[in-house]
Amino acid sequence: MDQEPGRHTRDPIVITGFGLEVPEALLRPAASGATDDYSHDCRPGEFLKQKKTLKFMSKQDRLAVNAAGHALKSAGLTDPERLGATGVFLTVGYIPFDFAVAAELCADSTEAGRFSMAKFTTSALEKINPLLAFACLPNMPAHHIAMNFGINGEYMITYPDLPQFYLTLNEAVARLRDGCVSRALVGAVADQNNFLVANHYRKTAPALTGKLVDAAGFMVLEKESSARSRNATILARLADLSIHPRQTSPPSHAIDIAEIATGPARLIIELAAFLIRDEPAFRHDLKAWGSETFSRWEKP
Amino acid sequence: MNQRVAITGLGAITPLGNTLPAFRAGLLEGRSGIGPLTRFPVGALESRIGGQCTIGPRAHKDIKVDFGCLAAASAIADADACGQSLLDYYQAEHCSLSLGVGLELFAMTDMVRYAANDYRIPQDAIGDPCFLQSPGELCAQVIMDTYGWRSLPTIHVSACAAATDAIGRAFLEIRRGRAGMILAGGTDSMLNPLGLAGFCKLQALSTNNDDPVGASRPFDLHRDGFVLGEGAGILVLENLEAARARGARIHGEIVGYGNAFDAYSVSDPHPEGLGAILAIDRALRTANLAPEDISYINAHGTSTTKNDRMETLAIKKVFGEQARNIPISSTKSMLGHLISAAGAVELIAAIICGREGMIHPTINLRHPDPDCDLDYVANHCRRQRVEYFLSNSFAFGGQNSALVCRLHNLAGNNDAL
Repeated sequence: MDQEPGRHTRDPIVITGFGLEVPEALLRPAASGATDDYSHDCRPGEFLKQKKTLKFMSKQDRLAVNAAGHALKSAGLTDPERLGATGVFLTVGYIPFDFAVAAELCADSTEAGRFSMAKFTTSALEKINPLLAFACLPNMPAHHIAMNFGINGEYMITYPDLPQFYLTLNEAVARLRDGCVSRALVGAVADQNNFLVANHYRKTAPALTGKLVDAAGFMVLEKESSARSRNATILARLADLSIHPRQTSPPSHAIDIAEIATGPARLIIELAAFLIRDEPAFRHDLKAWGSETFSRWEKP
Repeated sequence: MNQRVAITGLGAITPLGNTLPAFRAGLLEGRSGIGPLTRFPVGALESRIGGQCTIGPRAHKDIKVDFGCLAAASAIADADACGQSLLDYYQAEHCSLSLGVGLELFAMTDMVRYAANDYRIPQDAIGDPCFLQSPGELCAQVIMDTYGWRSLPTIHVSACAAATDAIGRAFLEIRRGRAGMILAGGTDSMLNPLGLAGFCKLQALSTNNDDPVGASRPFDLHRDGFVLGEGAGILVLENLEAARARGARIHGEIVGYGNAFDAYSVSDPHPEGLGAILAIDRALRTANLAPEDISYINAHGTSTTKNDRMETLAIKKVFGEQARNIPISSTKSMLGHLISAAGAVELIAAIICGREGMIHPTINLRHPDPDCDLDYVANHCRRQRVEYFLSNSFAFGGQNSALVCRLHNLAGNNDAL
């Protein structure tokens, strides 16, 4: 099952906007003396329609809104009138949870060394901010993007890693080709420097301890004809995208550790590096879930 | 050219039963699956009721993994009722999964043990991938491994719209000719301490604990919130020609799908139903149908004032005067809200009743909200032939999704399309 039938030369899909929110440590070479602190946060004040909504936003919401805002801005798409038919295609990472909140919940729910529902539903619950629920939901980054940029278009929201991002990218490309969306805001976000996500990787990929990156990346995709008609700058062209099951290998869910550390935003981070390098083309490969996946991008 | 997408298998784990006949009987009798919560002590929580499912011995800590696996197995068995076996007909690389899943299960009991061990994983939990949290993709992994499928499953997390989006995406992939067979649906259970407490804290749930059966009352003036349910719904979707070639029984056809953002509020639906209107309109356009072609609507119908009024407004806006002639019912009146499984289970509910020429009721609708003035098939099922129907799912957070399905009178015929 080739999920994206190869090259489309007649009206290729192009990148016209790019936005990243990543820690400094990822942008500087190790020799520059940068620390290995891969945690990252930001304040998306520039892009908030209503400042009061900040109180509903978790770190991954903030990262996503900022990266999406920069992508739209660099694509010259700041007018909400032009964003109505834009689609949002997003992959979010594992659900984050702050250690301090969890520890307080736990302390207030423990009786004789065991979890007590009676105590949890009285002392612990009283202290929980109801807004906490909003911070945990994986669909919230998409909500904040839609609300702040006035987007009523189609969407797809997947979870939790790079293979899912490839499927999301694939769907965005298909809906652009089908004409369902005129532009696609395609991105990924993961808040990984918190105790719950770290615990997940401690169980599944211990080598990553201390290497998890908080990152968000978005790109604006559209057909080349659309980009040219509005005189947008074309940053790169999608030359090929393929998601193909391997015929003989047994099913495998494992993916390279390097693919995990930056979470679902890895392809976008690598694309950002490609855009500033003096290279005409870039190919990214991924093997996961028994599938061979790749994308190839060319500069115009 | 667009391919047609057949529904050839259905599997549902629901508070009304885990087989299609039991589920259908409960729906048509207007029976409630809501009762006092018994799986865990609810302490001092204000809502102490829910739509619980009953299954055999659990294989996974996160019960929604079991629900999803059981529903998938039932759907495949149902698809094998006629014709060549599904798993023999399709090569492993041509089978895939599109699944809506709920939040990762965060186990408070584990958290207490973790804290007692100086915030290190206790010795006896080392190697347990589900200690503290069960990853949301686990159900997809287990299903893919069970059947030896080699492709990327798609895991949707658009909350209450996740299952509808999962089915919609599978529909689009088969329609484009890029997939032959996809298992699609959703699985969820928020009936755990943190899940239930979170919704209580948001004051979103009914506290009608003394009358669990009457607690979920969509479109009723005296509703006081929704009731949490749990379960899973999985559909086997196939390319119609391939389904015919293997001699499959065809339950119906997915013909349209659309989704849209409200872009409005973190907690409330758009007051004029903008996202819902756009999603329904897009679903109808994908199906190449006019509003008058729709003969039934399976509503999102949560039993919250804001949702019920918004959905009524959206239906009126899309269907105009015709809205008053279209029967609408809410499966949640009997099951509660199955969150990320809701869209799939409700679609299955509409299909299994519709195939019998019936529409299930909205129960507990005794005092209609004056702002909800459409035909909600109150309290008793209705005999009516349904050709095309719409199924709505609207998520907390403003994701709205809709499917259009075509049904046929298939009695005594394994292929009536």
